[in-house]
Amino acid sequence: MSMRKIFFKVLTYLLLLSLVAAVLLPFYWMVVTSLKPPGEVNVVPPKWIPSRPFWQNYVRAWHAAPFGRYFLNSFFISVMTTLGEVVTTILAAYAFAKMDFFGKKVLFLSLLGLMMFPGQLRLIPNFMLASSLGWTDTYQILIIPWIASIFGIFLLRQYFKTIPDELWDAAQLDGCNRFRFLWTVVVPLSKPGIITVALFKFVGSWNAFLWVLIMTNKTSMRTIPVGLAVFRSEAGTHFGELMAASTMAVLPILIIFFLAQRQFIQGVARSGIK
Amino acid sequence: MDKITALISRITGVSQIKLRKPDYWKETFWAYGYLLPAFLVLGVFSFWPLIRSFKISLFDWNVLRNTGTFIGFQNYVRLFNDPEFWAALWHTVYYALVSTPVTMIIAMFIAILLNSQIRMKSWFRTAFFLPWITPMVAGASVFVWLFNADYGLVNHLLGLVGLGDYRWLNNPSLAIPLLIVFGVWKFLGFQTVLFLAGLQNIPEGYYEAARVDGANRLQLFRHVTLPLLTPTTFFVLIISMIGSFKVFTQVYVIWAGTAGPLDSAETIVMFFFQKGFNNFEFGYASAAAYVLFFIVFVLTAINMRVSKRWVHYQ
Amino acid sequence: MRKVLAFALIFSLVIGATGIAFAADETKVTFWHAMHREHKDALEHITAAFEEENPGIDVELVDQGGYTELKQKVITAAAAGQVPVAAQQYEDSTIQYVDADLMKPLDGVVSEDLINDIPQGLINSGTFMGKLYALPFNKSAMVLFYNTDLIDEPPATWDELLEISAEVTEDTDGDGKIDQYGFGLRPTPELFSLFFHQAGGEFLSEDKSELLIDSEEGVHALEYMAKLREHSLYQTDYLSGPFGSGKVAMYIGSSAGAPYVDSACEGNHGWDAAPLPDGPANGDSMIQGTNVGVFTVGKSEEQVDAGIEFIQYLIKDKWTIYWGKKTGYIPVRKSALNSEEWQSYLEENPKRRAMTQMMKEGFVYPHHLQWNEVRNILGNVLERTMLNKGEPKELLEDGAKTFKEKTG
Repeated sequence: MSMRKIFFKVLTYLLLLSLVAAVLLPFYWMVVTSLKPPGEVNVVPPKWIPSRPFWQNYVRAWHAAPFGRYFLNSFFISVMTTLGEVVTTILAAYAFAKMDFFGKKVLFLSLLGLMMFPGQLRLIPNFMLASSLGWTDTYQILIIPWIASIFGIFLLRQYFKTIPDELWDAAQLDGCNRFRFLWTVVVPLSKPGIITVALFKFVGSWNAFLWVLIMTNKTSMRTIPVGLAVFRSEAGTHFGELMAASTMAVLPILIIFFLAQRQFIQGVARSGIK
Repeated sequence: MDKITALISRITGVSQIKLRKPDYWKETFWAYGYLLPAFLVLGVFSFWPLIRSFKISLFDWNVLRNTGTFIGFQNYVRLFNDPEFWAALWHTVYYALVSTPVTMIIAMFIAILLNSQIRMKSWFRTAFFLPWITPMVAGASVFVWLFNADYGLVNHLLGLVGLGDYRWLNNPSLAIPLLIVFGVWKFLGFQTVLFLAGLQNIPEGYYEAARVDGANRLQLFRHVTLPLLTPTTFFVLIISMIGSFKVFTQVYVIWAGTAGPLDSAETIVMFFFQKGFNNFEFGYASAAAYVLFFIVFVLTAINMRVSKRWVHYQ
Repeated sequence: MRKVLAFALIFSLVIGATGIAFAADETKVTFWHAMHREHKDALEHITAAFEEENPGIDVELVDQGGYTELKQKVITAAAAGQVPVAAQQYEDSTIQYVDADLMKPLDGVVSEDLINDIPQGLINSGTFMGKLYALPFNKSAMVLFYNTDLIDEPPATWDELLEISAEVTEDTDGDGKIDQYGFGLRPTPELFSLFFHQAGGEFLSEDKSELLIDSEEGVHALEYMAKLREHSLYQTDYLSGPFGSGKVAMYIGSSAGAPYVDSACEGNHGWDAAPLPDGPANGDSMIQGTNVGVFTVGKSEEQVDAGIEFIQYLIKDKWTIYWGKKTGYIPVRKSALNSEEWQSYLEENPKRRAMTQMMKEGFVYPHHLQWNEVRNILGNVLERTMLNKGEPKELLEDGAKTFKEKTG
């Protein structure tokens, strides 16, 4: 290797490492602060490492607000919306990809048009609808409006289109009906796409904020993000506890991410290439 | 009967032969069944609200009594005469104009570095990607602490290089910059992954051909990478721009439910939230949401048009 | 196929089941609050005692975050017809709730004895259009917190406050940055109102159509605050933190902050609370904290009655004293203030004496349907002044004009 090449290599690594350090710094600072005893949080200059890990912040945060309940809610809502969306999306995407029917173009274009509208436009009418149905503070309002997604339909439609029509012809000869064909042939062949849709949805539901904030009043219906926002007042200047709560909020989603890292990143990458 | 079929065929573009086939209608019947669940949900919670929202925007709505007086387009007129709305619009545009190019340039830069032959590529990629899946509320809470004026790490680090200390959360002129820093951190990795995918889609052949012609690194970038990456760049640009007009949660968390000092962090969505759920002017807030839609729509349309001039599809 | 059907069935069952509320024999009282830490603990303690004494009533305390979020939530819930049974509220919120017919008038429902035992100022604060709608709960007065390691004799007048602030402000380590400020300034509408009142200002004209902050007194108060700002740490967060760490030597704040101040100062330095320095017109304090009231929308009679029972229970002699001891708020009943228990508590805790004294010399905001707009205006004027965005006089005139526009 020439000197020039080595120079560029070293430079690349240095740049990357310093950028990574900058991006990861907030995570480091969050965890470190969450482990500091109160006397070491508000100090100048800041301490990079606590003298001893102080787990009490976690205990206090956990007892100060029902984080256990928040977790359960977040988990339940995320799982339900994900399952629901996967089912409705597979069905709709299949119709658009593989079936020939009256009004197909119009319906497809109207979906495209619908996607243009920002979500805020839907907030007030949906809030009023929820109020008149008595659905505020229920799981229904946190789940049902979110079990369909236009983005998901588009993504899966692309996937389904790549499946050759010959398979369907062959299946018909074997006496297989459309519905069974969809679930036993098309779905298994499109697993990566379905996983992408599911992951996006799960993370989106887990992190959703404004909708949940407006639709819930009771402590028992809050999700992690809304609970954490409320906890900010509780923690006040006790940043150790706030950071402990934040760490608890981040952890589950990070674990899921690390388990399905490849699918996540490929999913995002794929959404960009059309 | 034939005439009607012909007419439908003319309007819909579906051939007459098809329209006469019973099988076609059978398939249509089943297809509608498949579409039903998704369309039901989207219809009730997405489509219908758009119409209702527009209707509400024409009313002076009394939330507590759930009735309104029809006032035509007065809410829109009021909006255009409301300095607070213009300020919110300016904050949003300011945020979009700075955060979009800054994030994109850094993300593209990182993607190019990662696209060379280096070790631990996926490790780096994962690290950059982490903020994107982190809940916004948690990320913003951490930023509140990082940017704490007295004990925050950021002021400490700035102090080390002699840059003085800033009262980030109290100073109106630092509110949008703070949001920009947060936005760059949050969305950098997402864009990096998109750019990286775009880069990996460029066939190696183009580079080889250019190298044969004696192009250096910079020329390769300028004449091969940049043009061939334009479809990705365009996609990222649109996503990032639309995202800029949605900034809300971070403001809500960082300034504890308010719009920052002297409303300096009041974005359009925050304006919408304040009017809608603080003052309970549902009509006025709905009008603001429609204007937001209109702006995003026009910007996207302009982008689509202009893109024909600079986006090269292979 | 069967799997999918089964799944759909389970899906709808699970979601459906969660919507079913189970009928309970107990009367449920939801109480929304914004109390945290020591304050929350004390509230929970009193509530537990209430539940024990009233086995038929189940009180659900709901923490809604800060007061801003609490009010947002009450109004959102009102729009959805889902208000709590009772909630903490500032006067400017109560008046809006009353205007929307959400609240239960308490005249004739709450005993005369109780009403006569509450200081008149506090009764006035809960009275709107001639009717009592809210009882005081967590009430406090503004006092001057000061660092006893740095200041021996707290300032007695505005001039002294300025003087001492200037003296104490220092760059202790000589790096060119001030690291010890004489005063801590948090731009709340209430802080401006305090100085305005002490300067002798009147908020509203007789017919309530004009906001008189651009009066001579208003300009004087704001100019004084601008001067004070030069020796102050200015921040929008609570000041107990920087006060505890020694960054700020004095600040004016609610006595309810006492437990926070105490824990922040622990191990760092001594502190005390003094009566406020006298202004040109008077040395009055401002009464802070919220009242509690009961909502009627969508509530059964039993719930409303239980709610009224609960808000009275919160300020029983025994509990208002308990509350005062645990939180830094001040008992809201004359009998409690004069009780032997509270007096001997003050004997042992001299720091609380100034707080109790200031309570007696406290004023409250006038009532006006759009007072929340007024608070926005006051806060905005103060913030602008503190950030050097204009001259006090002009800003006050702008504020008075804005009031006319918004209410006219």
